[in-house]
Amino acid sequence: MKNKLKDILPAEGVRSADEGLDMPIPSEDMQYLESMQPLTQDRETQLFHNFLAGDDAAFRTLYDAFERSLYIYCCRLLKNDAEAKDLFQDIWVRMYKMRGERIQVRRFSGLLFTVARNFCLNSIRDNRGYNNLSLDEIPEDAEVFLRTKDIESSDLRELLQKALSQLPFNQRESFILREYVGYNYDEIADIMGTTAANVRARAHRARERLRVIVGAWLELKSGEHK
Amino acid sequence: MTPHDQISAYIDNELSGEQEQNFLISLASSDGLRKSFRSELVLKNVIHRDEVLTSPSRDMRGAVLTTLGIVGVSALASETADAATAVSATKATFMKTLFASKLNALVTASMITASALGGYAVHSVIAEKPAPQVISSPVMHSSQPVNIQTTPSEVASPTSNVTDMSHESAPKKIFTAHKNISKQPGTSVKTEPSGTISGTGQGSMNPPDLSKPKK
Repeated sequence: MKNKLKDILPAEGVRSADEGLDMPIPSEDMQYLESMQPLTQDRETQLFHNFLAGDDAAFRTLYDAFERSLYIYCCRLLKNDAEAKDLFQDIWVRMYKMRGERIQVRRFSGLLFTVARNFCLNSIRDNRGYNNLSLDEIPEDAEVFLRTKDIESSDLRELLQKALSQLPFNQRESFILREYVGYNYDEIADIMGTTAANVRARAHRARERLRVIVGAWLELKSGEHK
Repeated sequence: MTPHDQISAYIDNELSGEQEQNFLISLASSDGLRKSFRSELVLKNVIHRDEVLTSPSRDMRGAVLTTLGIVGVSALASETADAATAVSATKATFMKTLFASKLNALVTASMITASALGGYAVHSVIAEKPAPQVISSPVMHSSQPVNIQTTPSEVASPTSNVTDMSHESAPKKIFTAHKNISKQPGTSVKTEPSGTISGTGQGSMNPPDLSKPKK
């Protein structure tokens, strides 16, 4: 094995072609490279602590890493897109204001989505009429639900958005964090402050409801074609 | 575990080997389960499409970072975002971009080649024009220098071109004449700095036959 390594490795004193890679990478390039890769739990927490210590670039890296997932979370959890955008900005402002606070974070993404969850709950609470929606408001018969929608003019994506917005908050949030953001049940349980089994049950229920609606939509569409 | 739960568990990759095998067997035998499974796949597809289509605008990024007072960083952020977008776009349409760039390079190269060939053809046509007979006559060169002073009217006239060309191609012809002359004994040739040749030709040199066209 050592002999093989001798053949592969350059001899001492011989400059290899990759020696130029030992040069220090400029900090801007490093930030760019970091923003291109998904952050690990340790890395994102480290970046957040750097930000708390006064590093704005670390905050920017965190923003780049979580901008999209947080935006989707807000948009799908709330019914109103404009409200979701306002809330999205408020959440980042809130995160930035944590600089003056002495906090110990185990995981930055958990803190971010917990803050987002609280903001969304407050927003829903403020908007009377929307927060009173419950599971009972969705017709059990998926075809009845579909007939209330204009399926001729809307595609399945819009239809599912409407169906998703009518799910109970906990089911909706579990489903969004699972399917859109891609967290596992333990991470979602950490954000929602509940158990993983509970989260799994909620996500399964939401998925089953949406699946029934999709099935009915497919049947209606196939019936139209026949 | 109900069949629908099995679908969710299968999607989440939570089934053991034996459970997965049983699920696949029941999937093959049950139409209802197959429909549900198909709905699940369509749902996944729609979610993925929705996820791709839902993205924050660039203005929002600038607005948030400006609100936070990290304007200096926001420029960097937008550059990074541009680069990230470019990289993702490049990844997505790598082959298209590659093909387009190669196509552009090929088109450019072919245009350059065509223009070069055209230029070369024009140049060769001009160069292949026969030298004027006036200059090639050794008698005239040996006796008197070529007068290359032209008036503007001569330049404008077709014959003035001949005069100019004779000036360009004169040295070759003169050199030939010079060799012929030097073979003759008793012939003294004097080369003047102006490039013309003058001499007292006493040899038996015959003027060329001008009636035959030269190529």
